[in-house]
Amino acid sequence: MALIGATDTPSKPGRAVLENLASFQGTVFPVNPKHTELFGRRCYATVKDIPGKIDLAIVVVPSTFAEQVMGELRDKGVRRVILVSAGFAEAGEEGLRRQERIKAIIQKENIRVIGPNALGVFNTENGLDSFFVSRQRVSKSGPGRLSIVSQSGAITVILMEALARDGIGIAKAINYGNRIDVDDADALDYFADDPKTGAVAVYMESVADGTKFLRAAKRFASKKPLVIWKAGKYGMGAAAVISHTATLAGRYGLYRAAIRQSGAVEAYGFDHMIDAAKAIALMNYSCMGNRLLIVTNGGGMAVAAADQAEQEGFVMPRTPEAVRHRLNQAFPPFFVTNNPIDLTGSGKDEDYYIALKEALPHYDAAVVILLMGATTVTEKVTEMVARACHEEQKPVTCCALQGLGYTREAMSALLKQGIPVYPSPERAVRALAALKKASCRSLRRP
Amino acid sequence: MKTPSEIIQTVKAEGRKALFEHEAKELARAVGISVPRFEVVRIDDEVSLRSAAEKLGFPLALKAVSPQVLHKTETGAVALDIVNYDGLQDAAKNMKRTISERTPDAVIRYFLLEEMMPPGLELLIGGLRDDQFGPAVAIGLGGVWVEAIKDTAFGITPMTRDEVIDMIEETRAGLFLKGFRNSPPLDQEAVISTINAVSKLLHDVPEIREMDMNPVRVYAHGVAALDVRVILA
Repeated sequence: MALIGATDTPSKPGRAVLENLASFQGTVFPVNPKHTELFGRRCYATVKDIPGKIDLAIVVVPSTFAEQVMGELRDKGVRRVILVSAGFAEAGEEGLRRQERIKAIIQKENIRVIGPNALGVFNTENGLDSFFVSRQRVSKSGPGRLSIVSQSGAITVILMEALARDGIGIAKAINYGNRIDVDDADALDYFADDPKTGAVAVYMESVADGTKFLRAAKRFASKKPLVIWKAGKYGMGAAAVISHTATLAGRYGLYRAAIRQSGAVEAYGFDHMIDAAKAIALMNYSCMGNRLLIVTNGGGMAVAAADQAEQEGFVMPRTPEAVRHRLNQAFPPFFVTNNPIDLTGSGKDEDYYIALKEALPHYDAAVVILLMGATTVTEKVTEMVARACHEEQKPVTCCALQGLGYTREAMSALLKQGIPVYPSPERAVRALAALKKASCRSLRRP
Repeated sequence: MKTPSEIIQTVKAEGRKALFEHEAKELARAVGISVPRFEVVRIDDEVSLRSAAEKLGFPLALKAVSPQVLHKTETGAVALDIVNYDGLQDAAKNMKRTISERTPDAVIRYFLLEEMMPPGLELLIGGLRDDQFGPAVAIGLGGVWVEAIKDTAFGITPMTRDEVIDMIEETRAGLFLKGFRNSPPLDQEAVISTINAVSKLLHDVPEIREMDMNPVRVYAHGVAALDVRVILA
């Protein structure tokens, strides 16, 4: 791989990318006529000087040099380029003309390009990282099953960082910027067939080609869970307003249609996107229906969760007679064994396990509320919940609150054991609802 | 009966973008969308007006067709529940006067006589051609509700039956169609057929930019598109 624009100047993107590429499994050839050596590696004046074949070039030079560099890459026979450089269509008329000229070169030679004005690709499978974000500033994800497709570079990085903070890894991330060639639909097509990718979270402001996107999203969602956050929903103009009914939705209505018809889950904003991505990345069990169980050690939180459950289309049938009978025998008389099951402030770690083992087989999913301030629960409770979840192979999300540092530890223990955990009952339910939508859709439309 | 392309050719030949209501209704009828029975008569042709009324039977609705009149109700270009011929003559006379007062440059081309349809759930059903997604359909609560409740859901065509049902169920209109309390379930199948007909029309006739039917009345059996607008690209 060649990095065109490699440098040791700390403030420049060429420095951050060069450092990040230390993790890359292949060979990296730095290119910059101002250097003969960079961090102990030989630096080449131009790509032509590199011996042998180059599979991929990452270009981080200023846009004014980009055309010349693209010409050199063409002459060298490079077929794959990540064009990180900014200063194209996003920067006005002259930039747009520059972008069009580059487009002409790549179309003529059939060179595939991600970018320009893009972070490019982050790949935990082979260590490829073209993101000009320093690892000293931003924590990056380890390997995982979620991949990210994003129109915004900032949101790609922020999503990755939010997931990394919870110890959730990713498979790959792509930010395609001005999408001169590779677009959202191409990325989804790739991820549909990528064995490392188990689910995808998409952030988009617009599609490159609506028809192509819908086709790709449908194909993807028929195989794996897909979450799409469409931002820039309102005030996009009246282009799609049906005559004389000016109150109708604008283009967002069509995006909603595309999301619905593809079988994807719509994320309504930043928090919802992270919550849904977390659930889909971590939880391996499908939510096959809408029967929800709630287990709690604080009554009020269960009421809040039940309210949200109603809004998300869950139903909460009572625990079956036989289950109630057995639970009543196992528990003190003041525990509530209906649904929600309320273990009260006296519920112990193993009570969660007993409740879930007895009741969960009769439901499609459970929300478990852990008030870590109660003196009868310890850090062991997370193991009890995780064990029941994995034994029953039903999706569970948790809400952990109270207990200061104790809660933080419980949260990270849950995440390590594959249980998504949230700081509010509503978010735990909403994340489960996203999982339900993703599961039901991909099952319904094979 | 004219074919869709014959109707479109007439409109284009006259240099119009918007179809007259009777043209739009003929177009709708040609693809299987049910519309009220109607007759078109020239203004000041009393003989035709009488025979059209006799053919349709009272009660009737009278509408003025004019390229300059976009909002019929506000311009006074609609009269409903006309019960006899005297009433019809009065309504025609008043309509001509009101329109000339409110929209002095409007030229009335025809009168449209229609059978009055019974009340029912009023929906908006339409279609448009989007730059990004191509031909799309829309449904939601119509009539007076369009202004008050933004209930419209879109669908990108072509659509499977499941996709059409999902789209309907995203709207409040979908709840009304299922029936509640003392209201019987309404004819969802007829709504689905109407949506499919709009989709087919957009695919078959590339000249159409937008189609807007509001209200479409839905009954326990069948539907009727009371107002149909079609705009060409």
